[in-house]
Amino acid sequence: MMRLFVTEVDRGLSRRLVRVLMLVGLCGLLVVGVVAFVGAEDRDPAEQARAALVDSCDYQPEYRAECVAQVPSAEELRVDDPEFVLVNDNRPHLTELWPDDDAREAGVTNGFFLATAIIFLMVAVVLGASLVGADYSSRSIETLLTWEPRRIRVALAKLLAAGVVAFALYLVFLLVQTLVLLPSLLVFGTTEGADSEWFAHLLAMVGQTGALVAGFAIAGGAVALFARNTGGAIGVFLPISWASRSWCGA
Amino acid sequence: MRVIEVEQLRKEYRSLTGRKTVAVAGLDLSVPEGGVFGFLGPNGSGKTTTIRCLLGLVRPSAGRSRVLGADSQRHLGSVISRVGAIVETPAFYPNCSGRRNLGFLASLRGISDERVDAVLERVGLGDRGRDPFRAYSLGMKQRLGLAAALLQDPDVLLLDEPANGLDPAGIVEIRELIRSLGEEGRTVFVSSHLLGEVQQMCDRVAILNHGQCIAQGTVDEVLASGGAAQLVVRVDEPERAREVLERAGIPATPEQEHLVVDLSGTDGARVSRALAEAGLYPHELSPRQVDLETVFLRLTEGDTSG
Ligand SMILES: Nc1ncnc2c1ncn2[C@@H]1O[C@H](COP(=O)(O)OP(=O)(O)OP(=O)(O)O)[C@@H](O)[C@H]1O
Ligand SMILES: [Mg+2]
Repeated sequence: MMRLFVTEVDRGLSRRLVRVLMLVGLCGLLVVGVVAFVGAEDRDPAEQARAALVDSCDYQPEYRAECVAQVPSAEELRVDDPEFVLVNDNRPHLTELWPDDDAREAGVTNGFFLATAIIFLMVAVVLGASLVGADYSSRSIETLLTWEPRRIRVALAKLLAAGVVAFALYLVFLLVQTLVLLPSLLVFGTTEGADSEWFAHLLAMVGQTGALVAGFAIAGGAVALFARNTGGAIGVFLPISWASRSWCGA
Repeated sequence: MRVIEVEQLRKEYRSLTGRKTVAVAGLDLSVPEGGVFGFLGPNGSGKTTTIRCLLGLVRPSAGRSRVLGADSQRHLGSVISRVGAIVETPAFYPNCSGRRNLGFLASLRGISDERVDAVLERVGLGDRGRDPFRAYSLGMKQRLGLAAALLQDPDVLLLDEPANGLDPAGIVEIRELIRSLGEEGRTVFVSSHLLGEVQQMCDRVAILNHGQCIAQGTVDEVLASGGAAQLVVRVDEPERAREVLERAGIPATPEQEHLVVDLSGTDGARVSRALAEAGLYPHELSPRQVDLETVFLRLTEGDTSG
């Protein structure tokens, strides 16, 4: 059973679909990293808030000079209107990976991992369904069954492998995503708000969505197992996985 | 011990519209240990279905089958590491190389890479092992299937039309391979629709027709069951010669320009003496080799269905 499982994981990872997905995904992540770096601001948030106020004077060209003169200094803003300063804090935040409630209150809106999680819920279905379905479309299931006629073992090993492969790929993607965001974080960013509570939240969310990803891969595989093809399983499960993105806290 | 046993095996396929196809209709088979057992029959006679039942790939409608004493439906797992098989055209993962495909199977049993290479070499795929399976020709696919069947050095081989798609040299190669496997003491159960082809490599055969066994035994026994050997007689006046032979108590049947004499209860010397006494001198007296194909045709004479 262990050998069967290891072989299935091995086979899963060497599939063309998996490799193509990896390649496309990694390219996408690289773009995200570059965009994040190029678009990053490293000015002090109070300075950014002040600049935003100065910019807003453009709407009244005739009184522009007076308007600009009335804009308070960065120091004054920091003391008098911290809320406004927060809202204008455009530095990359570590907490943007997956903002918890505190971070959201502090104006952090992005959720890089969340986006990956939602995409992966759907990828997992396709992955699981095709891992199992390919055996039927190529008829290689017959060859496998002449090596291991205990069908329940074969089915369990395949489904388990689908779950593990999807979960592992998900973790790899999160890791790569962290790596591509690292330059902008290190150069311009801040770890403000990334306390132990936030780390706990991050781990919990990654675990929860990871379990969902694995679950969807297994479900996609199970449907493919019964339908004995890939397409049907994807048709059934893709809408469900899309609908369940709210479970990730989206 | 009987290596393969089939008792009253029956398999019906039902289509969605309720149409019923009887693929195997109460088959009995008994294959002893060692040697090559030919499982012969025309297209659609139920050979592949029987092999599928033996390997637990389909559930029989009735009856039972055992391989190495293990019930095909329930206990095959305990003996499967001693069984190698090809079912129809072998199927593998199309995008993986032949070598990698065998590697997946090998890793199920902890078989080494060296063994994979050795087996590829043995079936003549040594230099094409790294090509993807989808790029293989039919004959190469068949060879890879054979490599997979040999991979775990099995005691029993179930080969469904292993020569399918092979070139003449390949067929001879496979025939020799199968014969040597049988001589090593393994049991090779090999199906084919080319009855004449396998005659030379089998120790025993079973002939299948419409899902039923119509003859079973050693090759000689089966050949004998299909009637005696025949003699072809070419003579100038075939009609008169037939009458002469009839009077001598030797039944002969005209066939095109010559006569055919059944050699049961007579021999060539008596035939030529009877003809010579009547002043008829045959310019050809040749024995007609009876092969399994002839036996099959004789046993199914008058059977017009299918
Ligand atoms: N999956 C299936 N569904 C319906 N009928 C089937 C199925 N498989 C086989 N049959 C029918 O069962 C009969 C026996 O088929 P089988 O494949 O066992 O023949 P075979 O002896 O292997 O023939 P061949 O020499 O052509 O390989 C045929 O009439 C075939 O149409
Ligand atoms: Mg067949």
